[in-house]
Amino acid sequence: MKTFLLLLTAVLLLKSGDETSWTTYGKNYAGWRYSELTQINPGTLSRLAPKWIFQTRAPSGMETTPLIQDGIMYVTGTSNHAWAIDLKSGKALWHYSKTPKKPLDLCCGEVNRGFAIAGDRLFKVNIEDTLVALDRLSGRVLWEVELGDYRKGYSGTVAPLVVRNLVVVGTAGAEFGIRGFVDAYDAATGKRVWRFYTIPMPGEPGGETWGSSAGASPNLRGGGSTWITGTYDPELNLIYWGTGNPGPDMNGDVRPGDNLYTCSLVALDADTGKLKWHFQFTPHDVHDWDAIGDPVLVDLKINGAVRKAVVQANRNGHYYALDRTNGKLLFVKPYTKVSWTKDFSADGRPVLVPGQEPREEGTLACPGLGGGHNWNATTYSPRTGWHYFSSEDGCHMFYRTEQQFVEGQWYQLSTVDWVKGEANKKSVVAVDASTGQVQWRRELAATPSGGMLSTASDLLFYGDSAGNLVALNARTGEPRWHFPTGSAISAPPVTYEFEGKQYISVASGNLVITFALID
Amino acid sequence: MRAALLLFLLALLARGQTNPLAGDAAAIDVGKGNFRLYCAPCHGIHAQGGRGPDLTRGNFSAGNTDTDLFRVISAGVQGTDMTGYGERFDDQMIWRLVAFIRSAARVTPEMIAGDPAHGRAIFQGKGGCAACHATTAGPPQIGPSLDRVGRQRSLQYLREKLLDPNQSITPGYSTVAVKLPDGRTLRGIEIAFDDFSSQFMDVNRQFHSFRKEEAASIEREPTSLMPSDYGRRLTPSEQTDIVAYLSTLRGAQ
Repeated sequence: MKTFLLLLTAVLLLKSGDETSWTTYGKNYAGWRYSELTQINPGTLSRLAPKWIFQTRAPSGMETTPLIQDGIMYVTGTSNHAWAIDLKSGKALWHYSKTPKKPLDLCCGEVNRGFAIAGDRLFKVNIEDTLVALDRLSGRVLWEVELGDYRKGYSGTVAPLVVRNLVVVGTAGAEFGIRGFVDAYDAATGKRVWRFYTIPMPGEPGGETWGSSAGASPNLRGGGSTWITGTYDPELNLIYWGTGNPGPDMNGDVRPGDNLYTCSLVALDADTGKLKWHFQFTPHDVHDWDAIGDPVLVDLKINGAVRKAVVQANRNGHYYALDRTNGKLLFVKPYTKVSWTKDFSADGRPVLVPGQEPREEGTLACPGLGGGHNWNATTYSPRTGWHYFSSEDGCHMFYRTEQQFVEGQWYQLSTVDWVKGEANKKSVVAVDASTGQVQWRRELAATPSGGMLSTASDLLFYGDSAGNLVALNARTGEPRWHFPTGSAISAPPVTYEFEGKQYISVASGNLVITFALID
Repeated sequence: MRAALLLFLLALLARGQTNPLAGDAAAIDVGKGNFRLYCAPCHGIHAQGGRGPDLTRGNFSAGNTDTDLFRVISAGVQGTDMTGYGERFDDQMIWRLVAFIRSAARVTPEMIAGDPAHGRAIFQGKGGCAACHATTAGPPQIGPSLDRVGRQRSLQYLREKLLDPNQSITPGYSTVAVKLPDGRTLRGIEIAFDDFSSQFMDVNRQFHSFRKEEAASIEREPTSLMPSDYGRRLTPSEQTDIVAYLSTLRGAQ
């Protein structure tokens, strides 16, 4: 088994370069965020300390995954800022910025999750939902194209994914009645090559899952945003991308039916954007349980056979493994407290517990709005075969609201509140990717808000809401090291080798901090 | 577009910053949705108040004009839990919220029963409340300052907190309990608490800071340091009198 895993590791890592770089959102196409570097290990951790701190002076709340290549770090900040930083000195080589268009209706601030890179070009989205290409050496704009109309509620926060000559990108805005999509653009010209709409129109396959009585184009309130970067299998040439909630979030009356392809994972042909298969985790969602957790690609040994799988810790409280060649369910298991499902059919459709829909006077349902696991980056370690992610274990009161739809304006029709006397528990969870069994759960005082990184030293790094960058023992969940950065961390750490030394970098607040072993 | 925006801004100035969306049904509707998302956790799902003030009385602690409401939502109110949303919300969204808040005003303000003077006497005497709560501006004591609590909290919330302080603990006033290696336990009001250390102030107003490894255990207790037996120690009319007294604490007018 171990030999097999090591072999697999080698195959997948080759596709994303060596350990001296970090060139795509999930480190490799499979979305593992796993590094073979071992200089920083349980024996040396006590010497891990900041090497340099870069002050962006931009608004706080960075969510970026820094990219590393040829001695330079590329980071995006909030409010359309971005920098190239010299790894040796921590000095900025250039600064890109663009004043965000106003007025912007945003659910969650002017955030950005990072660059993609191809050759001498960098790609990022801007908050007013454009995709911009920058020259890697100067930060100069090469081209910029509109993805969606910000005046209609579209916004851009996702890190793009480069597949050969294509820049693949999604959109945010499902709280504003947008029609979600996954787009691919020619890296050289910015010309759109394909678009896959996550919301089909009446007459298209899936269009019938939106009812027919709610006006001329009910699907136009669709949602199905695509705000977390997908993964890619080069052999199958398939892109895997999770989709967000239907709109309005918590009042499903205007959208009777399953509401495809919301709260789903879609597998798209990388050349054409054509839908190869889809799997809907939460049909007719009314709790805002986006299916945007990292779709991690792993080959699993299940009942003696090796299965090409895609796994996801879904916001609806369940851990899923699907056959990534055809989208068929391999298994589904809860990893946190769940109140809304009794069972699953063989194809993975949930059998519902009645009465869990939000009501005017409030409905108690579990998991809560942010789900068991939300969007924060996860990591998979081939050494343990475990998938690590943040979790919030508990419930919410879900209140439903009535409201007319106004284009481009907030259309959630809901709110949530804490359950009186019950505190939700924050935790880091390790799940065996081949069984869905929780291996350990470490309950925490501070939310593990920043996404995860695992290494071959069996260390698990993450940042928390109290500002600590933390290292846990990946096999037990025991804490090994921490450093208080001074601001809540919302970004995942990365690691890389530079001049023969292993570094760890993380964005915290509006700083970028780089750690190394101090001699 | 830019010209239109300029005209809009000029119009605002000319009109002395009244809400350009006042009474607009669609704006109220959308404002209600936003209110429920951002404001309801403190001000209640129907704006009836809770941890935050009741907004249905049509009388607001930081001023009653549209401009006042706009400013409060945008910049917050210093020294209170009301933080500013100016960075997150654009002007139009704030005006929509103002439009909704105006629409939520009830015709008859809630009447406060009870005898405030008697409530004050109990607060300072039999109840022992003054030992932990300041009622005038100035340095706080160990518990939350109540000098403006009549503006900040709804009557129902004040009553709930008096009778069951553990139901919801005011943010910033959690109890931290540290068990020392020698068996003693220190308790105090949380200043900071994470997975590696905690800082707190005890009832004698002494700061403490402990790393996890310095203590046998550090825990955040699910109970408030405030006594939870006022339901038994005070008669129902005494409880009402205390709530009536608290509602008169409105800070500098």
